[in-house]
Amino acid sequence: MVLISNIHKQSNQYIVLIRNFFLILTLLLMTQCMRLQIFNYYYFNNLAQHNYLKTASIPATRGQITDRHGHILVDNQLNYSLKLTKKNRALANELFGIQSHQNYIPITHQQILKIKADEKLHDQFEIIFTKKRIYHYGKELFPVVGYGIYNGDVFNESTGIEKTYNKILEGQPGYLLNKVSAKGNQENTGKYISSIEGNTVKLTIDAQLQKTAYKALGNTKGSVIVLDPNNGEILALVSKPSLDSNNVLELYQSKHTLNHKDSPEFNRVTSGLISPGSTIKPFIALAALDHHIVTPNESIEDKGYLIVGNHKFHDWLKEGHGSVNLRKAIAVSCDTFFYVLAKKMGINLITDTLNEFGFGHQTHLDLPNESNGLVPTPTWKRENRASNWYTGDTIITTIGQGALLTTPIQLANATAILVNEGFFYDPHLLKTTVDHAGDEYQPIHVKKYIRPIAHEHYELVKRAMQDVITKPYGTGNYSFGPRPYSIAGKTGTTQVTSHHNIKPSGPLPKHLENHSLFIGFAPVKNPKVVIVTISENSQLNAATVSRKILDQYFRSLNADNEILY
Amino acid sequence: MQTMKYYTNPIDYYLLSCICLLTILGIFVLYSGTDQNLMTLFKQISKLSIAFAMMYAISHIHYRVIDQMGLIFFVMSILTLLAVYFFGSSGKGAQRWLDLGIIKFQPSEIVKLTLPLALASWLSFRTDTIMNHFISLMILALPCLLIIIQPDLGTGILIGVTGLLMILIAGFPFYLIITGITLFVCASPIVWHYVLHDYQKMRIITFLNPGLDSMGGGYHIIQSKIAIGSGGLFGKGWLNGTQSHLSFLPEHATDFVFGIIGEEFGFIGAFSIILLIFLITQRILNLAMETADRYQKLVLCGLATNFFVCSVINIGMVIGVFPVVGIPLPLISYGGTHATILILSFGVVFAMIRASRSR
Repeated sequence: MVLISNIHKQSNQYIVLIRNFFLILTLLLMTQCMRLQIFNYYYFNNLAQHNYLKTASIPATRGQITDRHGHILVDNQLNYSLKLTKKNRALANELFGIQSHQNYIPITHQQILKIKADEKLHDQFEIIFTKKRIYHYGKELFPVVGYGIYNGDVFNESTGIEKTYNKILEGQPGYLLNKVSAKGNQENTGKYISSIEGNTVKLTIDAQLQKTAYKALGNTKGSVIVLDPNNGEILALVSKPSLDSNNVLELYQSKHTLNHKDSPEFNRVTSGLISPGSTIKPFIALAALDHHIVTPNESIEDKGYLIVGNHKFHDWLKEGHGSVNLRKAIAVSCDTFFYVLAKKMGINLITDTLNEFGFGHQTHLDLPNESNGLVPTPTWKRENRASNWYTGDTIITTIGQGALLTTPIQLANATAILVNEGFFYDPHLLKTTVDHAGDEYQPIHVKKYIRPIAHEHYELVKRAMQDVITKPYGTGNYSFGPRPYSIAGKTGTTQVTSHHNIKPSGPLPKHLENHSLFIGFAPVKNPKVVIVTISENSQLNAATVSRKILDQYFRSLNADNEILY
Repeated sequence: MQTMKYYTNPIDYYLLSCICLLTILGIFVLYSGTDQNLMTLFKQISKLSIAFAMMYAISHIHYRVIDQMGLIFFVMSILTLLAVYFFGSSGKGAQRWLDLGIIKFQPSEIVKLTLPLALASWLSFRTDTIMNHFISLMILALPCLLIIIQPDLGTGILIGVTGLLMILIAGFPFYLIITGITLFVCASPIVWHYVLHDYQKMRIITFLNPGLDSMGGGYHIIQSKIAIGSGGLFGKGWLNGTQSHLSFLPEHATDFVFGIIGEEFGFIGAFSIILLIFLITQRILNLAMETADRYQKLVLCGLATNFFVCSVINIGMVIGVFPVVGIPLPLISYGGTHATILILSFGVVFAMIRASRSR
């Protein structure tokens, strides 16, 4: 009995030992649970969410582009597209003749039917909704709005307003939270952050005027700018030849010629460097008046040429203009008068004034790829042409030839400064942005001043420019007949032949014909618009083109019962 | 009178309510674990119901009958283990199932009940001789080896641990324990270096630590730790577990069901389940200390140890403190054989309690 109870006792001791050991194991498990669930909760919870929550982006609707009156210029449209993969690319080419490196190709309803009808094809191709950017004034506004292409949901912008204001237009993508199982099955959780629609960009462009300007230039290469000098707003901006922003394939074929001078993608307004020709004369005249090189009444006797050293500089009118003062010199575009001024002034005074009027500098227009232009100086010539500056160089600069190069937008801006008698706003295309709530935001434009020049000097030059149109001897007189508005301007012709050293014999080949330029503003008192027209290698007179455009502009203003004089 | 008293003795309601509570909780967890598959759940519930009925019946069998029948059942279970070895059907790379046409079961699960019974009979009968101690070890080693070569390391270890603790409680000479440990320590490096081939060593290493080698094991553990950890204090709520319902947590109805408890009921749930398991074990061990009968004591200890070690290995595996071995969570994991056997073993426990209280 004792033995049994001993064994009993001994057994119970072991049982207690085991029980305590089990208690320790229990506590170990509980501790580990606590470690995982309480101390490392955030770590594991994060991992769990990473496991099953995946975000899918909800693309934002790209903002519209409208003209100054709110007419929609650029819009979005939903389309059917074919998703091209490595596998079906060859088949797509065979069936529909689609050759493209794009991943999504828009297809017609007939093509969809063809695919849907054939089960084999149906398995090969995926048809999806894609967005398309619709350009309502595709050809007319190409140099302004540029273009972009949707590749799936991604918009690839490449030029124009689409590029400059991409951040404003693109909006903010939203996110959709999806539950994903270990097998990859997705399920919508219903939770999402909605996308924010892109803002509408309201341009300063007047669609009607733009259309008129585009038509007025016809098939001629060239450019037109209509600018409001009172605020720097650009009402029309044409560069020809142009492309249709909608025609993506054509764009891609011409892609490699971007910035080539004859490419339709080349924006002549911002990048086209031209010799300003006689349109530079009002600015030279201002420089001369300002530096007291000439007085308003001082006149010279123009015999049709000026001899400097052993070189004879001809006037465009062989027999000369006779007795000319400054006002008449501008009106008849007398070269000899300006040769004399050039000789008296020297190059430095000229370049100073030209720089003040913005020549040789970007105008900060809100379009990409703007050129600087060139105002030549003796230093520039030494460095780039390895040659000294001669008086002859100064002389041809005063008639806007030689190395002097300007962009049409610079010319427009300089004219605006002249019109405003010393102040200007950076020329711009963005009027306001409108957000999805309908609130409009207007960017602030600073009124900028150049070095003051006396009012009477401006007055004299402006009168001379009015003479260009109104006086029978004015170079622009025949282009502008009777009209219900007053206008002042300056014509210009740049001789392409002189650049090429080819003597004219018979009719000139197209690419060697002269460029015709016109700068102007109207009405003369309180000008509303500044116009710059350049018609390249063409018989088409820039002044005539300008007149057509201005007629349309004032006709539409008249409809609004505004006073024109 | 004696007989009357014997049969009217109340069963241990504390233990019974703990078991029922754990079972009911298990059904709720399993509803989530089977991804709300009612058919599967009904199958399990019907199996559990039958098992509980059998438990009630067994609790009324006299312990002496169990003592005698135990040996017969043990021999039979050994035979079924051998049958598995020769005719068993494979499941997940191991021969564990025996298909008798009407029912399909895992003989290794049956051994969990028959071995403690048989061992208790032998240990309460044997005298304290070295030969008898050797026989005790043989009785243990035979089913253990048969299960391990299936291969089912988890169950093998479980039965081994249970048996060794029973032998210890029955009184194993101290010098033999020391000798055994010494022999094991001395022999293993010799065997390791001179007997085993490299591929065999590699096999043992991966066998002991599957996470080291197999990507599968590692993935299971990482996902189940994420499931439990992401549950936090209160859990994500019943049926709201993302890890389990989106199939990141593998085997979440069977071996990894504790992951659901941790994920959906949080630390509170995991703590409660572990506590319940501990309370059941402790209650049985306390009852074992009360009883004077050696056989009853050994049976109670054996079955309690079996239940507890099984639970600990499973939970430890799911929360990443033990290597992955295929062992279910008692009373909760989906599966017929193991649940039935466990509940039957509780029936035996109640029979022992009834016997000890009838004194």
